Amino acid sequence: MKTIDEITPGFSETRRRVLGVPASIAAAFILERAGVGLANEPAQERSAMKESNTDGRLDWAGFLKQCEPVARELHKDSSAAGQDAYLHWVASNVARARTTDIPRAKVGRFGALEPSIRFGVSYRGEPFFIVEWQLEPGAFLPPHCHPNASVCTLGLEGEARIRNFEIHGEAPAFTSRQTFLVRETHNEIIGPGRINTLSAKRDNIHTFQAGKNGARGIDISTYHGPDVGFSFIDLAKTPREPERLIFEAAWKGQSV
Amino acid sequence: MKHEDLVNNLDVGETAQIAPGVTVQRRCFFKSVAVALGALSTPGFATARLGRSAERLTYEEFLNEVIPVAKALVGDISLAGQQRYLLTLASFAVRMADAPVPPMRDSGQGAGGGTFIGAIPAGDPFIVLHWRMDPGSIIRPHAHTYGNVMTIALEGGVRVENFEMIGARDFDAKGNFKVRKTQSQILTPGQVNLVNLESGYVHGFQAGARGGRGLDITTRIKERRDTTPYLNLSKKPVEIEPGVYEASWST
Repeated sequence: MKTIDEITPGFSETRRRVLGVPASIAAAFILERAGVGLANEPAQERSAMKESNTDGRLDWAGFLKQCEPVARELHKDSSAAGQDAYLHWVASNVARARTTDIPRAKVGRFGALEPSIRFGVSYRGEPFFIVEWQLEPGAFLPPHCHPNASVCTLGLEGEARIRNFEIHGEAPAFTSRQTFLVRETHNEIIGPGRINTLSAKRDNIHTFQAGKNGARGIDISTYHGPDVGFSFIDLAKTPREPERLIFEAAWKGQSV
Repeated sequence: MKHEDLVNNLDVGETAQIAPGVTVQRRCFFKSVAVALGALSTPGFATARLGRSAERLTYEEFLNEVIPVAKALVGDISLAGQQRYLLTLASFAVRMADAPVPPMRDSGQGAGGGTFIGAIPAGDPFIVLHWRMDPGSIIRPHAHTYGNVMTIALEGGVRVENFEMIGARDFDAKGNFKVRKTQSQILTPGQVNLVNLESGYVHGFQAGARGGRGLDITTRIKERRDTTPYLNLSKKPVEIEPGVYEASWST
């Protein structure tokens, strides 16, 4: 049977009804429903098809059970593509988590920033740990890097603007106050259910500016190499190259 | 002292700060191993092909692996369900080495020439469009009303921007209304941008100096609309923060 349909502007699609669904897939569905898996089936595939709740949302235990085993395997590939596969997998699972079930952290004030910012670790697992952040209305967390790490940020309440940057050219050691160049690669609004990611290979610097109602969210953080510390960054207010959004920057250490 | 050394020198139970607001505590190794073994023994957890995670997929392998998953997830069209679906597609797509380049025609969505598009074979529940943009070319911002999109760049670099109406969506709105820019992102090979029909459902592209090439994986989840709403934007935002623009629709 054939039907023709326009699926996107200017594009028609011919849909063929395949009577003989590949046996392996059909078997996978049948076995999945029976709670039995196929050993040769990709783990992402098997895990993605599980539903632990009737509303399709995962409680916290369901999220961990579904996300972590595959995440541990994807985590073994620390290439740029491997980190992205890992990050999108984690993001796809946390997107479906019931946000009220995500553990709350005991947060503490960070530095002397005004309006204030609070952090706390809400979960420590393998391969990731989770930091809850709370930004008062108008709070600003200065740009900082996450060397050898990836972060999946999920907004839970309120809104904040997140900007990501990448080092453009070479950067000196964290101890240097010499200027270097960064390029703004992302500029987006994060709010409930919205996700921003950075990896050790891309968008590795980020900064948060809370909106008028403040914001709360979590960072799911993972190391993909040794911990070599981090640094906040002094960033020029206006770009040196406006067209390409290239800014001058300098490391400023771990104090704000 | 490096943070790694600092952590290694901690006694069990002792803490140290390693990142903004992140304090680590040294924990008992045997307890961690027990937790890991517990997770691996989760019923139904298959490990046979997990070792392949570092391999790059051919386009055909990508389709074979992703389509069954996509079919299982496509039914949830809530904001979270679409996020889940699109991010899952992304987690497979970033492992793909490249995709076949089909014959392409003018996209019909450009501001001027230099933007091309063609479909490549895929299968339910999505179609795959392969696009190419000449250096400096522009795809006008347009709304996706019935199909969500996972865009992945394969070559070059393009800037993609997403917008959404402030308040309820109304693709038939006459006159001016307000939209906000929810995202501005540089897409280079392997990077993705998502169009969820519940947020950031307008996207537009501008190619960089080297042009760009990539895929749009489009999944129809709502009734088709006959016309595509194009977004006309004021030159400057009317509110710098949070990036609010005056806008109107045209077809």
